[in-house]
Amino acid sequence: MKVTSPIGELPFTVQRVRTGGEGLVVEGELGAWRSRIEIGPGDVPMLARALRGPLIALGVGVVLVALTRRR
Amino acid sequence: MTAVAVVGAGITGLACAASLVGESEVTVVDRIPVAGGVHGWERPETERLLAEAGGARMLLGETAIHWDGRELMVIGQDGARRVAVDALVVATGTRPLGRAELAIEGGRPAGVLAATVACHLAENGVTCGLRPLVYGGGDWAARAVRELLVAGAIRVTVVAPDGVHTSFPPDGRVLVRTGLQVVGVTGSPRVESVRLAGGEEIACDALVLGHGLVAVRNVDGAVWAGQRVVFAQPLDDPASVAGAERVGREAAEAVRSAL
Repeated sequence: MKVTSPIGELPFTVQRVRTGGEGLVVEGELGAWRSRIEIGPGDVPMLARALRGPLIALGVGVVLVALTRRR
Repeated sequence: MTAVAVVGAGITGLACAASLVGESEVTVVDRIPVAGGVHGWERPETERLLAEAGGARMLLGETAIHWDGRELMVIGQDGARRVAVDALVVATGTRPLGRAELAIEGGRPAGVLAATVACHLAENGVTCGLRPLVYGGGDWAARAVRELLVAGAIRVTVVAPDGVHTSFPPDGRVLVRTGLQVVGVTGSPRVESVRLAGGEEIACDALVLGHGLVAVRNVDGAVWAGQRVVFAQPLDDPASVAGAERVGREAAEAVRSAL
């Protein structure tokens, strides 16, 4: 994974995903820096909005594949 | 065994560390959390030199603050630490010359930017000017031209006093003029024009400085030679990986001689 930042593009390595705090915690390293992403219930609407397009495309794809196989 | 600290994990710093590792205890410090410097962490040369310097202690994402001739103070994610070493290699790269160093006269209008800053802003979508003038004919100037065009510039004038040393974008919006020297800037509150030696004025709404290179020396106590400090900062423009590696290896030789 790569993350674009003001100091350039850096590698992000996921080391562990666990539940904790108010939800999900993704632990990893941004280059040599220890990093953590915390995802709580309050982030769900934002993630849903951001993922709406890809999820709709995925849903349409699944329906089309199902219809094609039925024939 | 002697101990050496190398500040800067670019190609030069890594080459120096790779040359010294095994004969000295080597610590490499870089404020960026990846190695590779301006040449990038994904380059094969970076990976090769990282492997060669495998025995070195890497303090990436940590900033070297002060050198007192015996210890290097470093600040990172876990706080401050002191690294005791016998010699320090400064391989912190270069930057384009600033306005005062270029002796450009005039007021202090908005819109006069170092090429490093202009590139950073443009990469993040900030339009530094619609008709900028880029001063310089090397790497930083060419990179600034590319980024400014992407960020929305409609015309870029390049003034390259020593000629063009690298390839500029072949774009109808770019006008390159060589052999001219910028001596002044006018406008208030924003840049309106620059004055060339000889009196000609060129209208522009930003002046981006990318001419010449000067070594970055931002470790307190290691600004001047002496105090067992070796500087490894190639001033080649355009920069090359081979040139950077050669300077790093030469710095290692200088450390051996000094110790």
